[in-house]
Amino acid sequence: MTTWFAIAGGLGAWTAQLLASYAVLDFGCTGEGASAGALVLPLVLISVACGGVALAATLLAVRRATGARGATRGLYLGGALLDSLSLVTIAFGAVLPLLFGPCARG
Amino acid sequence: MTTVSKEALERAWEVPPGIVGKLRSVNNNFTGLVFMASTFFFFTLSGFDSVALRTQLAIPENDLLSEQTFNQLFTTHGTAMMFLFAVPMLEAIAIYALPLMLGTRDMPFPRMSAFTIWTFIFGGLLFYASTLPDIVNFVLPGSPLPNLVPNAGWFAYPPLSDREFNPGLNIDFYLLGLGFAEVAGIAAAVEIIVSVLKMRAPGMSLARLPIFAWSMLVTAFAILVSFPAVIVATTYLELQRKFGLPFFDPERGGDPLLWQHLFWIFGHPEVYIMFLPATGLVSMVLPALARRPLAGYVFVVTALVATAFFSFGLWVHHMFTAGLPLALIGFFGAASMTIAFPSGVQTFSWLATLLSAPRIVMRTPMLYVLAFIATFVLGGITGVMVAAVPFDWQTHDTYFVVAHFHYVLVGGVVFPIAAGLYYYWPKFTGRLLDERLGGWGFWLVFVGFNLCFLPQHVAGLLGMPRRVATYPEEMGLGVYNLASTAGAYVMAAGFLLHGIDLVMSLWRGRKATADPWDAPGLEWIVDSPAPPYNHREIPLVTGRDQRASSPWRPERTRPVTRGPVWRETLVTSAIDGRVQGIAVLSGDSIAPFALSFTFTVVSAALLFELYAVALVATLASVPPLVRWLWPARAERELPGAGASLGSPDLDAYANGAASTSWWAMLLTLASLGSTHALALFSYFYLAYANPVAAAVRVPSPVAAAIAVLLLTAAAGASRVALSRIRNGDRSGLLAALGASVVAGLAAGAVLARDLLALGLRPLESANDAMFATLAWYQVALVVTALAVSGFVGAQAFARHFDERRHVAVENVLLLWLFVAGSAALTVAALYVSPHLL
Repeated sequence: MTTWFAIAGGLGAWTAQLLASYAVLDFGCTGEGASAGALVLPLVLISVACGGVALAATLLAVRRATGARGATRGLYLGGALLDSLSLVTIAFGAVLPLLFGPCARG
Repeated sequence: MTTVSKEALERAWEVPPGIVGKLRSVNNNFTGLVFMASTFFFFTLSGFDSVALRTQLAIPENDLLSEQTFNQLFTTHGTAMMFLFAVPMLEAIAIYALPLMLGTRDMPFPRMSAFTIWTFIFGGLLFYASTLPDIVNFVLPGSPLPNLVPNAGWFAYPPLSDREFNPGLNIDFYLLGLGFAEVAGIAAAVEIIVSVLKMRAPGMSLARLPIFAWSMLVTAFAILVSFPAVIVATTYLELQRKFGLPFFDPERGGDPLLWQHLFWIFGHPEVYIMFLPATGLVSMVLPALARRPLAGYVFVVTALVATAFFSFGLWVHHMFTAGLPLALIGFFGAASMTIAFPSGVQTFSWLATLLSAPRIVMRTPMLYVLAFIATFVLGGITGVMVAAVPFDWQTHDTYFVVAHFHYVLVGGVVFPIAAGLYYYWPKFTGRLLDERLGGWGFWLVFVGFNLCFLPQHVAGLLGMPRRVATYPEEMGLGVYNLASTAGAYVMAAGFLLHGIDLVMSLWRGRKATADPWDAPGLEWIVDSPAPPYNHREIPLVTGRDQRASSPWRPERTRPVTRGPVWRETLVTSAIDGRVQGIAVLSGDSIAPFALSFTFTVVSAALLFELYAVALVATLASVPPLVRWLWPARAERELPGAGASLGSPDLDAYANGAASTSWWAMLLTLASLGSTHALALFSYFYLAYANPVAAAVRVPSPVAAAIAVLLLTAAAGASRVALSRIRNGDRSGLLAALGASVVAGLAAGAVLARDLLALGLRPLESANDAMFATLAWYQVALVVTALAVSGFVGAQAFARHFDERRHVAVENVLLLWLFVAGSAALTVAALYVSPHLL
């Protein structure tokens, strides 16, 4: 389980952020009594939680890659790349609601 | 050690003579070539469409084509290129080349391959059959035949594609064609995943997998998850068009944006489904012709996985102008930019390989690879530009976007396919291509392509809109369009030259040696063209460079019963390529062709509302289906199995995770699971996220909960059935299977009765329509599980199973578990969530 977390934890965290934020924005901005301001806190919490998971997965993958050799090392290096890429994307996604305001439309 | 002669092996695997023999053949080398030839055919038709489109746009205010014909042409061009050429061509190359690369003898389910290919061909022909009335009308002006060609773009957004604005059968042809392509695509994906995971040469761990196999593995998983989205969408649209269910009608609680979501949940990964195998081809061709291993193998594999994964988080970037919340589209903009990273990793890997190459063999495949890198980088950069939301708002629906995606799709997909075809042609046909013609063809295509699409960036930025049949002279866009049209003709001339080259090589091309490129890889250790059994001796792989592989020898042998020479190969473990058993593959049969044909007749008959014909064709499909699924006595007992593999002491009746059939079932259920998840997404989207949706029905969950319990009992009974047969208790197996059927029947009856009693009004409310569709789909799943259980029960009665052979019973258990699980989700969504939300 820890191995899978090191390899795919970041991707899972990014997926969770995307789906949870999508649900919050789509429901929160269109439902009855919607309040944009009230959505900022849940969005930030989602991003922080998912970012934390991705960061933990990245650190774990790097740590495991350091001690490993051959194909196993490649596996963890690949995992570290995927996790860190996910972390960057989560960070991008976290900033946007703060910049625009959650329910602003184009 | 092979203990049968080469001649005996050839007899076992050869393609039967004559036309009927060809229709019966399921050998991957033959079906792969048929698949490729058919995609070439559709590519040619679609190419004619594009030349006609460009001719119309060559000068301002041109009236060569009517607006209606123009709409039809860009619809058939886009649809055919996406569904009938790019993905199928890459799958066709995989069906031919994967067994060679993996060191095995065929794909795991040859009849499924044949069914896939015939279904694809019939579907494509049915799609293009819509043009026949137009051709008759062209030849005989004034004939009364209706216009049937799809005309709402390859994306077919409602309401334009709804019956109100498109009352003919045009869109129905589109939906039907898509359905065929999707079914074929998913079946091929299952086959490819099982091949790559379970049919590799011993010693070929995942870390030694050829990059093309990695790319196909990743792509096939993406297909399993994404294609169901378009199946769900097209089902809703057809139900709306045929029966008036208002999924996309805002006046009755529907939402046209739901179509866009579903279509692009499929449509964006589709871009990468085309692109990833194409990069896989590049990663095979480039190192071979650069005379060094690919730089950064692990990074390239990681990039493939990352690209496929992130491609599912980009779909909204096709909807930036649809009025969604800015923060929401910001998420998708971020993901759209992130995906440039893994693409960049691959690009740098190719560049590093080239820069450190001792010698670059500058032949036609390499020319196409270099053209791919340059063109794709340009297309990628404009991709990052349109991922920026404000920029996209300015260029959306302009020719800038047309130019961008042609740089990605022609540069990123067609060029690698051309490279791959020139590279593998000697293996496919045993003939070498003419380098001079290839070079001329390449330069015409490359120059023509850039002449065609580079000016379109400028035209788009100057305001040239997409999907218009003409434009006023005052816009000043004539020169860009004229250049584009000239480029299209030059490119067409290049492809024509390639076509001549291919045909000429078959006629009088020089004979190819086994390895004309001096390339690594198991595909090059066998003769050209590849023999029908691909690898006479299964290789033992000891490293990523597979030239040094030696023939595999069994550790222990056993005496083999006298019997026929079977089409057989080894099954290996998914991760490390350890030998697990023998897979005896199905032989030639007319059943796949016959089933595809009846499937087509049923669909066409339903399209034209010829219900009696549909019924007859359905009945006609029963004998071939039974022939396919009901093995003859010899096929069950397999006397002589293993002889052509050196008589290893291995079982030919694998069960569980060692069986290819078990994996195929699991993957099929995964795809059905994706379908279910998307149907649930659609339900919630309309029920809760859309403020104008009709009131959500709040039914009592008691009866539905009882149905779930009954389905769980059916799954439990099938688990008991499995444990009984594992102990050799056939009557116990029959009793437990019977119990699962009784429980399933009761569950289906409870669900159906409750549904009928609910008084749903699916024609008046989108929410009710969604409720009814999802719930009846669940009932259909139960009926399917009942049919499968009944069939396996009949096989059990006929003594097909014992303690060693029972994978079908394991598959029944998987199916009931899935049906029970999906029913629990459906009931939670439809019956419980309204009480909670």
